[in-house]
Amino acid sequence: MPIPNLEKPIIKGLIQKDKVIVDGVELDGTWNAFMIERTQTGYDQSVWDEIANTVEGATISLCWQCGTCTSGCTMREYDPNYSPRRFIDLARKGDKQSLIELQDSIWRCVSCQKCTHRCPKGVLVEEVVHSIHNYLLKHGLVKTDPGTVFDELFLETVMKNGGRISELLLGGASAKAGFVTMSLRDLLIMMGPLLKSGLIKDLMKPSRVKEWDRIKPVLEEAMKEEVTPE
Amino acid sequence: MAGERVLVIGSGPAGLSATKELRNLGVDVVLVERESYLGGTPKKLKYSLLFPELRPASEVLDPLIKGVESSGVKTYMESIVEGVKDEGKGFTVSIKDKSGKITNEKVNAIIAASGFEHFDSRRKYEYGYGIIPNIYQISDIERMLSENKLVTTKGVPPKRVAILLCVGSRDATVGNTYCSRVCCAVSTKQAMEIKERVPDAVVHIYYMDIRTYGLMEDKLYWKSQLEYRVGYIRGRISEFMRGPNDTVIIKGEDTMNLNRALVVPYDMVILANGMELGLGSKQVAKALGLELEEHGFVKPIDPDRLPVQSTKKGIFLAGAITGPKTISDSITEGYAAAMKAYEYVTKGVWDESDFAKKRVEVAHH
Repeated sequence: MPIPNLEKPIIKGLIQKDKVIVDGVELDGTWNAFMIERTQTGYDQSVWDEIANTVEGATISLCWQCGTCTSGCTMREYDPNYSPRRFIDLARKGDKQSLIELQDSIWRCVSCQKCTHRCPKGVLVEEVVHSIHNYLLKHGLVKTDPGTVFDELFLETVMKNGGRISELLLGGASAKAGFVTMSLRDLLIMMGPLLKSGLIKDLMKPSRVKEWDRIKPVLEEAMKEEVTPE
Repeated sequence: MAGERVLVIGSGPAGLSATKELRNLGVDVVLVERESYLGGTPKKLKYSLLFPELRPASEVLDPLIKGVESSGVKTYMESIVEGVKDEGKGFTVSIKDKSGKITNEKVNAIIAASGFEHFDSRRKYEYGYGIIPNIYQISDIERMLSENKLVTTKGVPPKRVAILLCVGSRDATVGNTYCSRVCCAVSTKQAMEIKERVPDAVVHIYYMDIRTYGLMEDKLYWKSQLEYRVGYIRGRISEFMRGPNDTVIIKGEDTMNLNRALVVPYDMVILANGMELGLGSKQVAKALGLELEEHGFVKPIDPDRLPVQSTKKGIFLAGAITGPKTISDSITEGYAAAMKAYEYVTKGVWDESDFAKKRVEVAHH
């Protein structure tokens, strides 16, 4: 009997035989159809251990899940799935699957630091949430989030343009990454004032930081360094 | 004041401290103990470390036991108080020993310090204690820790441990609507002791509320998370199943993150069984004619103002006979009861209170 399409994704280890005869008995059909468990069957303690061993995430072990961080959170109003308390809880239990499901929320912190200042146990919430997100990125569990993509674009243009951002390059890159959309009409509206004020010159050829050739290697060296806790 | 005598029933922390104090005051003491040794439940179940200071139980109990042994107390071991006759200014107590022999003693006052018993988790059949291997109670684990034999039925230390709080406490299905007060602290302490012995073990505590009250908050609850990474999962486990290789599979609910059911295997499960009055103290209460309060513990004449006086003149209470208590609280009450008994036998001081006469609301289950 064919299996309905609806049930296929929850069935594993399927054996289908059109014609099987064992010991003279006809056994053709569909066999070994088990339901995949959809329960939480275990927690991975290594997630907590790894995050607690980073500089940013060291205070994760202090959290007692009171929810002060989340109740005052700036981001929560805009994204009901954004909950630092929950991220910390899931990370400590090692519930990776739930964290992966929250990947569209976990990167949204605006670093207002209300959570960190109000935490009654001294958890550096903002840093801990970042370290949880870094853990997910490091292990390739989540796709690169728009925040990180933008950060990289920003840094790239700064390094390319002598220590300053280039609005033109960054705008172009952002548009390419899908963060901004600009119509021809928008460009035409902007062009008028830019030409009139003479700012167009800066836009086309931005000024560079003084002695950029000396500063650049220092920055590049600093970006290579990875901080490890003692 | 020559010839004043006080009967102390029970030689746990409360009974021992009361006896020692009365001897220091020069009062004769008759001590009755059901077991063949002094020290009460902490000795009987071989308690390991005591919270919150994490010091060996013997460090606290042995000086008390030695003090009583060397103070010239008339001690009846393996004996119980069979009956008490009120003689107006004192009591005649009949003490029955193991062989059934009855001895009568005349005393001026009585301190009942016969303590508690741990809840028997077999009464919560769905937890499978006594049926499924590798399910223990905190009272069993204390002995395993103090004897350094923390192993599963396979003979190896457990790598995954679950502790379930409030077994037999805060549970109307077994008639216990109160909090047993110490199990949170004991469980947290045991989790730390397990992590000390098996550093790579995963220890999860399933809780509804964590009540490491007072000065224990940071010493136990915070410390267990910061230094030992003990996991706390809010939610009461509903049942245990026997898994492959003698594992225990829990069926629970993570009430903090409501997305899926928990079906998790563990090598060892510990039930934090609570405190009850126990048959021993019930027999004592019956023999002495003491009243019980709505949770089944012995009722003091006034729980706030006169916590160590019973509702019957001349009989004092100390320790867990009046409700769940820590060892240090029991020792304190032993001293308090000794002082009250001393005032009573020397000066006849007996404070009255009409609290016990007032109607007490019975807890609705």
